[in-house]
Amino acid sequence: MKTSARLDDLFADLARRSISRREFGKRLTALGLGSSAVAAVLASSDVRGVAAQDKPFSGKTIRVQFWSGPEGDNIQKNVVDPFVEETGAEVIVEYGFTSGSIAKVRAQAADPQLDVVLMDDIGVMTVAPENLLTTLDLAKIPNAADIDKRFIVSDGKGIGFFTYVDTILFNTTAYPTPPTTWRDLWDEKLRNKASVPTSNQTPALHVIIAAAILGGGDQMNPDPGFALLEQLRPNIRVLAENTSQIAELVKNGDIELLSWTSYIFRDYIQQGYPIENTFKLKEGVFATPGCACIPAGHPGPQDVAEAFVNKLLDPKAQEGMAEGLWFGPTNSKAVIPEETAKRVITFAELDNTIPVDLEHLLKVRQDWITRYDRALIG
Amino acid sequence: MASSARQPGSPRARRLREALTAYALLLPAAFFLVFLVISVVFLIRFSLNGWDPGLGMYPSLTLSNYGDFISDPYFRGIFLKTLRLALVVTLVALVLGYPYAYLLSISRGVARNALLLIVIVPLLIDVLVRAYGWLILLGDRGLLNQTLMASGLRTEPLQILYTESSVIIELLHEILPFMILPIAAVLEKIDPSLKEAGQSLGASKLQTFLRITLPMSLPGVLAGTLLCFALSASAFVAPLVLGGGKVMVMSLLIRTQLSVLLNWPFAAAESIILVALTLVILYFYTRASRAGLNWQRA
Repeated sequence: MKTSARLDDLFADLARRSISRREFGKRLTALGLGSSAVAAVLASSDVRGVAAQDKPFSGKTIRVQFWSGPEGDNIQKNVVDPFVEETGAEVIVEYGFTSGSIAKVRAQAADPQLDVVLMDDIGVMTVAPENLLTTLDLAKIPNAADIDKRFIVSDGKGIGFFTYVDTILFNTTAYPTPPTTWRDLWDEKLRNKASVPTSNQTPALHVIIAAAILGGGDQMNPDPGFALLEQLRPNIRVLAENTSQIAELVKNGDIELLSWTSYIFRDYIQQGYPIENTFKLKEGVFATPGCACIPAGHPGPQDVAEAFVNKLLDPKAQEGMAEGLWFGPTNSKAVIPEETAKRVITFAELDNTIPVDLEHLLKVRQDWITRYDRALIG
Repeated sequence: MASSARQPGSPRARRLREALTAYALLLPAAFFLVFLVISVVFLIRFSLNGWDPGLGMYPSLTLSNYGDFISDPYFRGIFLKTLRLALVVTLVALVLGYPYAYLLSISRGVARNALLLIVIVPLLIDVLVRAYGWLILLGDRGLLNQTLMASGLRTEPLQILYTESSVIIELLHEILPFMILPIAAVLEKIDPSLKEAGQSLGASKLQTFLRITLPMSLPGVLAGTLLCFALSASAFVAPLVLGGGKVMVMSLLIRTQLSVLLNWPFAAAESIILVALTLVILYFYTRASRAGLNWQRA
């Protein structure tokens, strides 16, 4: 029998698991292949594919939905790829922002297709009352023990695996020292040089609450905020929706102050754009947890879905996500390097955030969005 | 035998065969029509449903979504602004597009190909890429402002970006081919002997144009304006990118209701209102235009 034919038989045996990898290596050597050739063969993709079958979830598949864009890339790199590598599970990713994920979970209520859904806490709170999510069995998610209780959402139907902050970002050329209050957005010297998000984004709702607080109201009494937003109109150069567009405007000095999500300009800041954010605002900033949940009646294996959620809560994964896109960790054991710690919200800083009543926000969102547009666009 | 098989059948069989061929050619249109009708039926049904911020859409048979839209001056204002924008863009496109179409219709050879290429090229570029191109051109440090300031016409940059003007400019770029091509097609079909006859009877070039060419090109104008108005009223990318969030039109309003608030019934009602009222406007416009054409022919 020719060597190539014997090799084919050997690979077939390995694939059927009728021989061990050690035995496979021995027989390869016996065929006259040197040790370096054996190592090269064992490292080849075919053999890795066979070896993957030895992993705990080999042959099992889950379907996961999360954000596209930089957020999705960050999760893919620090959670999905290592999870696949470690467990052998196949993870099929579908993309969608929180509103899309809500819509999909609702649309699939009778025939769920997703095993794990990642979305903002408001998404979990939206679909949880409709009995579309399972209550997470935290005993089967060991890393949950190190997650702060404030990240357990909707009675355990969702769990936070990172936080992001809506705050004020500033042009470092125009502001050598960071602004200290939301009121700075209304500064007369900022005529046509400020920006706030378009109404279709959650950070816009936070601008309304900040304005309400400045006007003497709060989220239950937003009227003073809408009155103040009308006064903000002359300062608004553009309503922020496109990151690259806003980054260029800041770089050119056309925008000096804006309110948006803190990590959104990470890549631009690293390229030297004069943008910074601050978490030290007198009135506080807004922290939002990104959460994981498991839809009720999901089709994939429960153990793989739970292991995936566990991976999201893993301190190493969270350290990677903090480094990757300044996602604030929720695991108390995550160790964030000093330089990155300046960019992510810490547990201590979370105490100084403005609490948001999401259930109330869900009820008034439609009205607020319309009033926000009326105040700023007219 | 073989030759007799190729013989045409009776006139009746030939007519039947021709009719079947014609219907077969309509199949692609029927294919699209089926999906369009299904979508519209769903849209109408959704627009009659109820919506709860906590529970989302729930089955119902109510006209409240239409009532909420019509009774709110803010939504009415956005609707009227959308129609105004579409009207302005269509009129400007007509003024700019007609002379170009005329030039295209009388050009021959390389000149004609070049003129045609200029019209068609924008259609080959993705609308988003085009919008970003205008974003760069119209910015404070863009080509327009650099030229204005270098020529001394302005000392400060012209604030044109993130205004209705920038949206109109981009929309014009987007829809001008739809104005030019139908008009040019009609102009090319006008029998030159008609103009020659007019001029031989003593009419000046202007009179020939006003009395012969312009009236005979009106079907092209009608087709072009219909297309441009419908495309402008439903435009999404131009107001999104060049409006900077400050030019709110119906398409953006529908997007917010549909994909952010997940208020599908209200979004469906807004869509139906936009389409229905645009169709009504276009219907009366078409009728008025045809009446004018018939009067001219008479």
